[in-house]
Amino acid sequence: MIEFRNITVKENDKLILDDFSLVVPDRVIMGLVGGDDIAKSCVLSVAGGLRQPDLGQFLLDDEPVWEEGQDTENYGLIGYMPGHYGFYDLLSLSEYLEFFLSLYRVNSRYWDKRMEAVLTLIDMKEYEDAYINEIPADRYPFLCLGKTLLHDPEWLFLDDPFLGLNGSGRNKMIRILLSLQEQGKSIVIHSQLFPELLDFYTDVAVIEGGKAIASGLIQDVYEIAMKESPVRMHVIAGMDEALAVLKQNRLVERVTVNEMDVIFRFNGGAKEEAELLSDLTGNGALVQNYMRKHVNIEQIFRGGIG
Amino acid sequence: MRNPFLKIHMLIEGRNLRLPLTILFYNAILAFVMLIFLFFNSESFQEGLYFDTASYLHQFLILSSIQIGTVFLLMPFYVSGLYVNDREKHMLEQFAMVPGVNRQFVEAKIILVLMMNGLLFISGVPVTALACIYTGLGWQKIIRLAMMVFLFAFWSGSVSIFFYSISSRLVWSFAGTLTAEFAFTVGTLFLIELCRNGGIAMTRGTGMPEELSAFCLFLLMLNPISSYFGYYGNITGDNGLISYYCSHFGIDASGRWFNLLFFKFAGLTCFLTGLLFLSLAVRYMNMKKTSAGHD
Repeated sequence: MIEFRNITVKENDKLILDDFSLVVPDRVIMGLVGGDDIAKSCVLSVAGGLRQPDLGQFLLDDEPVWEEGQDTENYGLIGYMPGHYGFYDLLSLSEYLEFFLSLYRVNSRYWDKRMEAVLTLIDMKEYEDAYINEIPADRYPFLCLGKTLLHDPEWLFLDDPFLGLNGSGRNKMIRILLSLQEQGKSIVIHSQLFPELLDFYTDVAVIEGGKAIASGLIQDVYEIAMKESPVRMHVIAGMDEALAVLKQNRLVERVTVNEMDVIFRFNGGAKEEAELLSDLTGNGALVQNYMRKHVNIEQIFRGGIG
Repeated sequence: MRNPFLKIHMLIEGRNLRLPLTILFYNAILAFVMLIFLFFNSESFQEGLYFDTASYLHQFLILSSIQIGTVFLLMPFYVSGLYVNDREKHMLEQFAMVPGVNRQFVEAKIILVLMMNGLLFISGVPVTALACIYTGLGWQKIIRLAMMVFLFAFWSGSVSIFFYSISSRLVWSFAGTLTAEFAFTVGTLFLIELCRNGGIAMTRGTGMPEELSAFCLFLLMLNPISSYFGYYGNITGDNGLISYYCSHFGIDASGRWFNLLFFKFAGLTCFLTGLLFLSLAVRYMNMKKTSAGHD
């Protein structure tokens, strides 16, 4: 389990992360969502050891990971793929990977084995002896991911791994990440492609204003988000009765009437929602198009809780 | 190889066109200067029908000064070339998580700088040796010159590496390097002049206070040119500018002990200043983790 505990990061007196706390369970694919891209990248860079927080701790199984002055080998458990990356063009792919293997202090006995495993996983075996500037640019995100996996980390923090990939590239990346999760790795991702990746994530954390305002299993967060989404209905007849029912229900808030349309915020779950509809029709209101307004999680939280 | 950065940088530099081109132009300049000297020597011989090697001493000095000057001149460009990949392609962000990586990174850069200057010097040895033969100097002077080149390469390389490590904008790093080199060479001499005039004004022309003389001597020692004049004195037997400046603040620079100690300490100071800049570069890179994410 990984925990960001009360982390504050400032940049030029501007708060990027403000008392940020988040717990990431093992073996999940957690998507960081929300409109605050700088904060999301910052969370990953703190986890990847690229930057030290001004306050707070980053913990792995309750042990600090990047503690100053601590002779830690925890970096072996963490793989970080930055949002911006490049390569030394005048190196061959195998030389590039050997460079990172030696940086990560992987025993040279395992170099061939690790390189073989990673190149097979990212499907770049054919480029092993090619110079990096000879490799097609759309393979670079895979190469960067491969470099991140060389020391076989348990935790992966990936800052927009889908950037620069076309449709088939994205699918390929998703397949690779799913197979990594099957191998027991936990993955935290920031990606601009949130709605498209909804089915791919097991967990999400919504980050707004430098804080994690909601996190957990995607279904749970979705349920919370849905409660923030207003209910819309079209009342064909019995508007007064409908409004009376809404007024009596303690879960209903902020009722707006626009001619025959009624929009209100409803804090109940699916069962309560169905019961309300039953009450409305039972009291003589003729209701059509009774539904939650369909918006994505990011939009709900941006306009709602945040 | 213990330092992975050194290995890959050696591979990259070996495959880069920049190094052979630098060696080519460097040797072309040295050879051109030497050719002019050879024409001069030939004409001089035809006039007097004998070689007076002592009168050709300046030829070796000019050639060696070109070599030392090239170190200062080339360094910001060369170090800039070493950093441009790392900066533009965000390479540093990819290995910042590994402990101790910044020290290895800086170590690799300075070793590369020394290796590049070593290669330049070795490639220029035939021309230097020719100048040595014409001026009647022994091979020991070439070794001495090599030591000077390495000392200046270390000093100047360390200053450049420091500025390229602390700033993410290459143009500022370049300007910072030039400013620091200027401050250490011309700036210290200017400060010495200020101190001397201030000291004389304070004592109303009776001489300089001892503390101020010691401070001026310290400033002079910080100046890498002092080390160069140790080398200059070793060849010509005259300390040149250093004697002039020392006499300004009341120190007799002609003494044997002064000569022996001052220039040794000046060389040592040069080396220690380089070390200080390198350790500051590593320290700054470690500290920079707090703001590295959004450079």
